[in-house]
Amino acid sequence: MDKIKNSTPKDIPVSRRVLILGPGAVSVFAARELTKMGYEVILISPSKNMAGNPRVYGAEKSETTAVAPALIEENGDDRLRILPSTEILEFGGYPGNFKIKIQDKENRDEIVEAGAIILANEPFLKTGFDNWGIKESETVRSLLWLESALSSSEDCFISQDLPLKTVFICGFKHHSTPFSQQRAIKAAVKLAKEKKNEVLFITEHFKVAHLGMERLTRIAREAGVLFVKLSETIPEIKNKDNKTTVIYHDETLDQKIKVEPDYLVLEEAYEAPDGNTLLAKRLGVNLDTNGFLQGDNIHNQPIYTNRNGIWAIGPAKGPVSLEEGFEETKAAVLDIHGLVGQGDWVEAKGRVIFDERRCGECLTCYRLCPHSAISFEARPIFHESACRACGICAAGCPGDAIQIAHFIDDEIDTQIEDAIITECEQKKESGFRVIVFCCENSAVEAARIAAFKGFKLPREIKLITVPCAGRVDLSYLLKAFESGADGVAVFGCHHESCKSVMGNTLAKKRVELIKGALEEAGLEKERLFFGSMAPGMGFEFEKIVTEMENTIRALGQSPLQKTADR
Amino acid sequence: MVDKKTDFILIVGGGIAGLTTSRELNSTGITALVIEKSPFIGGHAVNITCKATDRCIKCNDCLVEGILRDISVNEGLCIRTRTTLTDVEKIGNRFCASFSSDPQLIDPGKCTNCGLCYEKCPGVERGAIIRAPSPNIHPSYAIDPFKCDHCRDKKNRICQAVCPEHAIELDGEKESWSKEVDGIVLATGYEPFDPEEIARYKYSGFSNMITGMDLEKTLRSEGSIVRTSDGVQPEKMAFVQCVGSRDSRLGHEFCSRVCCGYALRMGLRLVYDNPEIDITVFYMDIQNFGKDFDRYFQEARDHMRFLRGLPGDFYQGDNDSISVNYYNEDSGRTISEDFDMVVLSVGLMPGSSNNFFAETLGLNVNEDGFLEIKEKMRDKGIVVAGTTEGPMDVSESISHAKRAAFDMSKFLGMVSK
Repeated sequence: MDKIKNSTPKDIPVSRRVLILGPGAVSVFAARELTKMGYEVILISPSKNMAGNPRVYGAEKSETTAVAPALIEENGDDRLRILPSTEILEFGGYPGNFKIKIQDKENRDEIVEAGAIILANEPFLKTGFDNWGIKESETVRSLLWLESALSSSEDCFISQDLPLKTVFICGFKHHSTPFSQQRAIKAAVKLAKEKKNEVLFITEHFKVAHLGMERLTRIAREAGVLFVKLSETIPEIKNKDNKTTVIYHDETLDQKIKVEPDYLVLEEAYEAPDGNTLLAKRLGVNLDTNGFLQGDNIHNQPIYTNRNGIWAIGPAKGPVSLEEGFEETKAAVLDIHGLVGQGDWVEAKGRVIFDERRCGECLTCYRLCPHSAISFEARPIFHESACRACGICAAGCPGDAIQIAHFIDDEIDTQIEDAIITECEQKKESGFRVIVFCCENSAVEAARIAAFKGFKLPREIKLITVPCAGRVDLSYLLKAFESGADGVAVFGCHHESCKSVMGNTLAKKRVELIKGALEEAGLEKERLFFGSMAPGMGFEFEKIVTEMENTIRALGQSPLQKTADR
Repeated sequence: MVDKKTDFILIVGGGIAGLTTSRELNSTGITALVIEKSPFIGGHAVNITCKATDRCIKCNDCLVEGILRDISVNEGLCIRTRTTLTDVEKIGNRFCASFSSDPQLIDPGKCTNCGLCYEKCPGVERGAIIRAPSPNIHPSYAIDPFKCDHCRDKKNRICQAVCPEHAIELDGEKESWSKEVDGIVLATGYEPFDPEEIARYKYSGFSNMITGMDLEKTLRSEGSIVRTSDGVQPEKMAFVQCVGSRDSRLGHEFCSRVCCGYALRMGLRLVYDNPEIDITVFYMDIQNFGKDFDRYFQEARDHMRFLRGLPGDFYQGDNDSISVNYYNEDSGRTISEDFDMVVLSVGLMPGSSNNFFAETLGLNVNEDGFLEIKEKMRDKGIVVAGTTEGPMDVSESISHAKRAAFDMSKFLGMVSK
């Protein structure tokens, strides 16, 4: 070990300032909670409106949205800076000490420091007139328009003669949410009760998974709102000469129904804000399939991102209720308090060991790190607070300049050799030996569960723990075969459940690569195997291991082993 | 009695919410005692099965295990199982809580989870010693005194004799005790709906009708599902949604929020395990479950049959199958179809102790029977964590519990500067 010189910094400066990305009630609430606790807060929003839109949460107004203007008034307090119309231009640094370049609408920019980041920007409400091939008109309206019309004094919903007909359409071209439906049903009740309208509400699914929604649908039914649910078909909308026609197939009556409403109201889709793609790139945060600021990975649940020090809460992750947004705010604030609240310095854990003399300054580590934990200033700097010690950098480093504590190359090599030697002694009876590199987040857990349920690991099979499948170096695989293993496997996590985003993908690639090399060397490629599993898959672990055992038993001894024996 | 100066919090319920709260409180330097009525911590969530196919479908099972692992390595935590809260009295700014504890039988301080007791016990078959659903639960074994030979007739101390750590003491007595605490976290959770409450399901009449929670438990412990009647893998299954939820006749005017998620995910897992399986989902409305709802729902639609409307009646069919009567939209009449197995997606009902807490602590239950959270309560040192407040999934329970820990720390003045 004397060859390795550790050049990782020991201490990490910590800023007690938190940058919050709004706009909206949840971001304002987070700012309020943090300032009350004595933190400095910079609350920014790319839009001019800092208070956001309470309708995003299905609420009309909230205590916090009422508080927002007051809080914004308080701006001037040194601890709270509220910066509307401000965007993040550049983003650097690490948890405890991020450096963010922000720019206001007059193009003035400034670099600010923050210990932690909270993302709480709100979804964008978009009415899909285009999706239906129609345009907004006096008779075709958005739910947002209806809500503001209903709250204004002007009355366009009461007719002198016959009651007006209103049709609501929720979903079909987008996925509806409990929050948009809450708004739509409230408006429908108002129209039916107060304006004596005939109201028809067409949707695919009632979205009742929110407090009070089931009751609300009953209240609407009692108020005379007629509900139509369509499972297989989509209504047809025509709008010609300011006359709207809605045609749908009634499933219970099995017939086409034609309605000519005075108003057609479309529910909005809750979409990710336009700027998210660029913002995510700048922040180094993964987006989910819908474009929200939290990658689709189980380890991001409930409020995390692929980067330490950056929390995604409430509306930033997609449609949520206000209560849930507030809860998640408190959860994030508690974490932040743990990270930056304990003083100015955080002791480094020394998990990354870096040998400067071996570094070729190739930037591979910097490019590979899924947690943006490496910066480059003439040489790589490993930021402990951002690092999750997955070892993807260590496996990728062509100069072997990086080591992860407890998983040092030499130690792994020794484990490989030990595995072969121990099994070698038993070889007389079994005749083969298999090394399995197990990700400690999934396969190690699955193996524990299998053992707990009584599965006895065949003694020909030896498990070696790695911090992530992405830590498995090409050299580990080669070393295992060279040492005389008859079979080698890497067990990593499933797609979208790797704690380090892409460790499993990298491992799989490396396995494929070595498979090619094995064939060239005259070894069957079936001797090398990649298995993916979740930590709860004890039975699958048993199944995969048994299959592998049979495969290797059938293949017999590795030709390399025979050479080694000689 | 505990030193007056040390803040001491009582957490009622050792499920995922209670455990998360205790972990979080502990990290802010607050000591908490978790009491759990059953022999194992982990609550309902620990019976959730991993539903991964060839990829993760975000069922949250591993989040539960993660928390259990955190708990098992955290030595600062204080957990007492087989204990119930019998009374709480307000004394000045503090509470005096009274408890009743059944004998622990296995000393968690000594037990190393070697499993020898489980191996040697002659009564394992009938459940005299039970194994925890997860190796991350410590102790991983518990003795059921009602099924244990020794506890019944004071003989057969095999487990006690074989335990290399002398961790087993079968002669324990029930104990009543009390403790002064500064705050109380209510994390007693939910009760799964009992389908016996709805006569038309004839739940106890069919051996091949199980609840969604039974299916979770079986997939977790056995890895696959077979029919109780003949041990054969089902080829045709039906999931019936909204059992006990969204039922105004029962007074349950709420959606349980998790059943669509668990049913569809288990369905996907069953289809993955056996692509030939035929799955039908009877539903009213499919609810969003998690961020990437659209993807899973679309996938589920590709592999399962979705029929709108809940079935009417259930009858015994041929070969232990269950005949399900439902309205068929194509023919416009009610038809009957046989299924090898029927899974009732039972909902999350208010915990049975909610009313007790409402009375003893002066709290409110909401219209649905869940404990209502009010700012006022927090200022008195009472907070609620997890499904005690309403139906929520594991991930939500975790952030909800973190919120509870935040509120409690704030009440104790620990997080303010």
